[in-house]
Amino acid sequence: MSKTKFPTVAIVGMGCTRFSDHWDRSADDLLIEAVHGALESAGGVSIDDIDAYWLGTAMSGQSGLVLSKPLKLQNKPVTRVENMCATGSEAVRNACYAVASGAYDTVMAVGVEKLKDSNMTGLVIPTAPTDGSEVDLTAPAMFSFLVPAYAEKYGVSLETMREALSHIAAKNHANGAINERAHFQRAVPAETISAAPTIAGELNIFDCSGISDGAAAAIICRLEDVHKYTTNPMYVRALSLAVGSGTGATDTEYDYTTFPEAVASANEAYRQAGVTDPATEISMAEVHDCFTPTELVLMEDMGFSERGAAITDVLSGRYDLDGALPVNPDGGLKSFGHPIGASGLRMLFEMWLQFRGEAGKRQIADAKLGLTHNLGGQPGEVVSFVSIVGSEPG
Amino acid sequence: MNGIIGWGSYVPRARLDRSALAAMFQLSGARGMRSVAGPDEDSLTMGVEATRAALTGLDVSPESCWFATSHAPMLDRGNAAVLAAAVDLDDTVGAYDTGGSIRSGMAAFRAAVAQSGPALAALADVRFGRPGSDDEANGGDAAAAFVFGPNPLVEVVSHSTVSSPVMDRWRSEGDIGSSTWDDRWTAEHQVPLVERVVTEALKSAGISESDLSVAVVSCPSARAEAQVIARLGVSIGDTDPRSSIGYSGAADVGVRLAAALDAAGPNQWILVATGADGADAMVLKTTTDFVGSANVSRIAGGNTIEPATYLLWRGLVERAAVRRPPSEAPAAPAVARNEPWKLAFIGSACASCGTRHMPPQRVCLRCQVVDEMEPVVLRDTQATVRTFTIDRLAASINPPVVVGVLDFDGGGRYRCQMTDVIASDVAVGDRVEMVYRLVAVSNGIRNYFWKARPVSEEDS
Repeated sequence: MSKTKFPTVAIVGMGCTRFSDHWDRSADDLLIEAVHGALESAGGVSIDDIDAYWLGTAMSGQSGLVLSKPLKLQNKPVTRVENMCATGSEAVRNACYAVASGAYDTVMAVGVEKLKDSNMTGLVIPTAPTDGSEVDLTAPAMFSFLVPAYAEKYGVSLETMREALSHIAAKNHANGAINERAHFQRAVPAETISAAPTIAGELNIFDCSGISDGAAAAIICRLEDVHKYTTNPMYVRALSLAVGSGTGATDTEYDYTTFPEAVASANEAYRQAGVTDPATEISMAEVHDCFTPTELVLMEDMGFSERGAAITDVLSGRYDLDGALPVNPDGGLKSFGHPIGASGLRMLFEMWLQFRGEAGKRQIADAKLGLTHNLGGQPGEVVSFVSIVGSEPG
Repeated sequence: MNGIIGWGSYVPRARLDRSALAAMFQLSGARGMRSVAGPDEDSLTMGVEATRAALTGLDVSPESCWFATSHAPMLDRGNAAVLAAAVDLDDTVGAYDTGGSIRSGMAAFRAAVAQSGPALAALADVRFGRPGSDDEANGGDAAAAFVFGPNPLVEVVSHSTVSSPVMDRWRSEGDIGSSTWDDRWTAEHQVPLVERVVTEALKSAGISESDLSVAVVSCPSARAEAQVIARLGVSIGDTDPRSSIGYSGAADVGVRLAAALDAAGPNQWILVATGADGADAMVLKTTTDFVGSANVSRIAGGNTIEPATYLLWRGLVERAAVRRPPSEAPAAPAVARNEPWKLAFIGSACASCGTRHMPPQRVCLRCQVVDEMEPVVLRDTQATVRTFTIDRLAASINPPVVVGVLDFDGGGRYRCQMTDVIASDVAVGDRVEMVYRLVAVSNGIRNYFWKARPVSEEDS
């Protein structure tokens, strides 16, 4: 049993750029907009009032200088963090513990990624030199293993799988269509999604999140200091990170129908927040829908659906914006794309808007607890982050 | 003198119909098939497979390994040492390349015969020809390997040779294929040389043509070869591959001899005659204990491919690049550190709980015990496809990339590329075997590793 303490901190300011093909803007431009947006939302706090920074970026530069240079920070501690696709969440987690420890009073977590200056199709994951024996798979292919495995385990036809995956993509695009910050702001009918040609296994282009540029930022302080910045903070109720042993691809007991790391990270977060029945206690969730089957499997790994029941729950609309447990109300990675360092913070930004009643057409009524889930890696070797946030300190 | 204690051959599964190739060039009259190396095959990978076949069932540690090809995939750096490592020979083996010429096949064979200790000869070739040429149509890709040692199944009784700088064909580095002199002149010059060495070899062995059970005759010129066979009046057996896979250059004499041995019986005299840069003849005799094997299906089988596929595989037509990064070249120190795994597909098994690890690990994934691993050779173990995917986005020498999650017989899970497959035909539950193949060429570095291919009904 974990002994990780309840993180007694709150988010008192957030900023988030639109995620898009920002052909005309650099990572510096995106960082300046997100950071100053967060400062303004925290009641015009000065940049000098921020004691320390955690910058999440996977591949848009190295070191704290990526943030200090565009913002002209004067000798502040800036830590660059990276944890694959959970990089943005990792910046938040470390920033939260820094203020919780008392080392700093007010800190900022920032995430950024500038991917569209590359001429590559899909995400390119940098690797250290190897002996050349590892298979060079693209991300869609890595996650495509989930589909036939899930179908086989639960006796679901590939047609029904297709229907559920298309429902997830259509739902997230519909949510993104009413979000001014989304990259893709257009609803796509499920029939169009189902008819697209495959690119990896059973996955087609609509099953995949896009490649985008974006940045987001959050200001964090301890509970006793919240009043200095806002009357409407978002309380951090749980933070967890589970890093697996990465043996899935070589372990005959792994069956590609779950992320054991996601289950572990969710259970730890529920323990911290005192959640005993996530299916009813969580009001809304942003999960890592890098590919539609990832979201499907995560519904079970987060404890929102019983094992084998995610298909039925998805198709019944349980996770739609007007369903019992809206998932990816902002449109998810599907609509936002995935600027790696920024995605985890973007998920928290939607929670921030929802709790403040600023989500417009996407507003979910009476939300108590929100969950964000952010993962990096591939089925079999994952880093998985879960946060639980709320409008009350708990 | 050493004799043969083991032999094996390897022929790629793809076949090209010569008439289909001819039709592309508006030619007619072509008959038969040629074998075509897959896009991830070359002389080295085929040599490895033939050597694995030749070593099967033998408990022998060759002291030297002689590799021959006219089309070496790697220059300066040798191919023989890689071959020896891939079949996991002891590192005290002397592994040497002979190469460049067609006659190097005979050179490797003779070198291995002449050793005092156990020796290995691996002959492999990928036969190129200028588009539309006879060489292209009549060449074939194949490999053969022979293990030599004391107490042989086949004795090498006599040998005779003559060298002559015949200008019958020529090729420089970088040329797609060879150019040739008028074949009628070549035959007229070549045939008497072959006759001369055959007469000498038979005389040394103390036998005549009528004592021969079968003759293996291999010449680059089909015309010369046919004339030699006619003048000697010998049988060339039922397994002559010239029409079914083509003339395989430096490997040809080996592929044909292996086929002849497969079909041979005990106490038989076999003549081997080749005509390149002069001529060579050998008289072999199977011993009383000799048993052949029925491996001829390697020559007879195969799947037909289209001429356009052949052109793509050969690189004679270049595919447009995808917007993906090129494969990372393997790092020399990492390859050296991981040699048993990277070269010979040797994983580890936990001494405590038995769990197999691919690649080998120091800490057991199941019981977390540290440094209690034993090596486990997995390249000869078959596996079942647990699940798979088709990656249509990844850069590859043969898109789309098909990757299988394999459960090995006796335990162990590994995820690797599949080869010799049509993507749409792969199914969960397929049985596969491991083969040594080319993964990618990056910065001029040829990255080889093991892939899984379906177990052929012919081979199983």
